[in-house]
Amino acid sequence: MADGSSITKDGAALASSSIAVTHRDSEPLSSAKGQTTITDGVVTKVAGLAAREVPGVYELGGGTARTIGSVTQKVGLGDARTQGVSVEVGQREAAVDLTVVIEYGESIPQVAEAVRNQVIKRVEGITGLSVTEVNITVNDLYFPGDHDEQPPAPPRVA
Amino acid sequence: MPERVQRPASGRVLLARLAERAIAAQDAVGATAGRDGRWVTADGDRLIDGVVVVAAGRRLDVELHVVAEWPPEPLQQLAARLRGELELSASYCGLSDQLGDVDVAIDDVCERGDTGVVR
Repeated sequence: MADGSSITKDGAALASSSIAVTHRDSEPLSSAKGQTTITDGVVTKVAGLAAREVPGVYELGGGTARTIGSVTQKVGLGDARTQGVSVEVGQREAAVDLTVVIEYGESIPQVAEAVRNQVIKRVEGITGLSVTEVNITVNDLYFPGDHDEQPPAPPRVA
Repeated sequence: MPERVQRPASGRVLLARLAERAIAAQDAVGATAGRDGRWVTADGDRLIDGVVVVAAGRRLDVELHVVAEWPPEPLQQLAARLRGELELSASYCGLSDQLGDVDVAIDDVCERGDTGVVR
């Protein structure tokens, strides 16, 4: 939305964001022959990669997050693909919060809706979790010709 | 110096080797030993990454730690296939009686070319 507020899954604009979902780290999915564990980090990464697949999304993360992210990535502590993404994961459901930078000229509501649909499709399809909400905050616009940040250097050590 | 005697591999090591092969047989999936390298099984002079075998009574429970390449197939499906491969291999090798639970942990998702995917 033009005033920077979040847009929830049902299309209604809200000033504040996500509904709390019980958070359990690495909640196992049990079967008779063993458990399958999908870490919260994987869910976060899936959401982030899904959002980046949408045309019109330039980057994830707000200004401060991106600045901090570029520092942590340089020292091998951060991952660009989870910057600007946070998830709350329960046993069967997930809620996703995203902060995005959209390319100037794109329709913000259309890009936001496309991001929402892609994140839901990927998270539900890949993890099996039901996505209850995807909150998107459009933090900035990218103008071609702006001074681009240097891409984060790959870590030199494992 | 006496020659080093090679002892026959234990059931634990045999299952770990089968698990290693089950992971290697999957496309776009790699084993991960974790950031601190703790998800490994010792097999003589080498370490089998991404496999932990733990005694559970008379049986051996196996943990598989994997990284999937983006975009992965449904992860539960991947886990079920890994489990099935290991169970099948164990039955061929006469280790079904020893094989307990097979837990699969999807620890990361990486894009092609990332160092996170171990092959």
